[in-house]
Amino acid sequence: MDTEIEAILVTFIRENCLPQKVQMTLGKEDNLFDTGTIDSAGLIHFIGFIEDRFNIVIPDEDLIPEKFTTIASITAYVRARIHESAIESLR
Amino acid sequence: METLYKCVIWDLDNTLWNGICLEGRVEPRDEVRRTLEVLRDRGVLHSIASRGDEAVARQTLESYDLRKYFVEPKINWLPKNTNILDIARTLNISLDAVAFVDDDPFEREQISYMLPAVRVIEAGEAAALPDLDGFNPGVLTAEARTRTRLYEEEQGRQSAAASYTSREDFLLSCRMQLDLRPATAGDAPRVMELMQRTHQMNSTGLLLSESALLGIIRDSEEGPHLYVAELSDRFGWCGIIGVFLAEVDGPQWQVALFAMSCRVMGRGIERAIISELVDRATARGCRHFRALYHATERNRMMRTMFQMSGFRQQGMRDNGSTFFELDFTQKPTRPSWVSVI
Repeated sequence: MDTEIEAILVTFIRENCLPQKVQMTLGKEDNLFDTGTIDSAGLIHFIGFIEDRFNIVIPDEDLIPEKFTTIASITAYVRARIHESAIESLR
Repeated sequence: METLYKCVIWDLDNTLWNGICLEGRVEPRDEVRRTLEVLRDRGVLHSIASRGDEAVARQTLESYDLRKYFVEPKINWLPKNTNILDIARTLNISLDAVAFVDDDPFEREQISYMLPAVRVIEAGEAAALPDLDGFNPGVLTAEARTRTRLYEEEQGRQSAAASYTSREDFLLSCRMQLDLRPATAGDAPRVMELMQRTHQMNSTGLLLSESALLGIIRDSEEGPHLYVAELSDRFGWCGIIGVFLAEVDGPQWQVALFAMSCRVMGRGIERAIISELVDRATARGCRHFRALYHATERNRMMRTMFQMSGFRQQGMRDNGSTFFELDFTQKPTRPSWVSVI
């Protein structure tokens, strides 16, 4: 499941945040902010995409560096939220 | 607050000029050219949403020296609502700051129906546009007068970005220089303009009268500190792009306003600014660094910026305002591509 989530996130970043036509390296532990890949405006756009794509809600309190700095941390977060939503919907 | 229009989107045939350019000779309307100039000098951008053949229309625009007034013209056969939405997104302007001028009642009705936030104006009213509510910002700044050129420089940056192999390489090559300095009396008009015009990257929506502003600038040693940020890069001068008001009470600093122009979003400038503000405050004995935040429909980005920069929310008041406090162990890192002077 992680590889699938990760692939979706990486595709979005490639299409929206990185120069087109060039195959750029994007390591899953790279800091998206320190590398200039996204900034505050880009993050808002990215969050909207994640919410729609995975049908989850991301509360404002969760928008913190531990969760949204790298592809790896965002992948882990999205997986956990999908899991929580699934449990909530069973209740 | 009264809406200020940031972009006027024009139809061409029988609106910008009399006649239909695909059918032969057209005659530009002098009163429209005057409107284009007056509004451009007030910092309003002009664009085009027109059905027709792009090559022919462009040639007509060039031949009457009209092309220079417009950014992001859309001349094609797509529905105008699609084109207007596209222009607004590219310019990073919300639809309620967009006006659309067309002679055709069908097109006007279609836009009113599809994009109700857009102000729709009949072509006959073009001459009176500068006198209508929402088209006069009241203050005129150097940034406003050159906004069309600034926007074109921004297009240069965007197309330059395509040729680099890493985003950071590109940003470094732009040689961005940020000058964060105390505001002076001469900055007051631009400060007021930023307070009125910025919505997304605006922490509290604080508005001050000119006299209040001048008072703060005059008493900045004892009272709150007002800073402005001026940005330039290898493409040109971007002008004053941000304003920040910090109230100081001994070791406690509280940012009562953080406002940054949407034109320079996407380059991590806000992180450079917040980290520089924190460093300066620390150097002056600050031990608690807070930022006030008043949530609106449009400034979620501001909350994200604080949280992602190591701030934690500390409480919520009934009116929706709250404050964030910096955890100094998580101080934001400064982007490598912005040099601060």
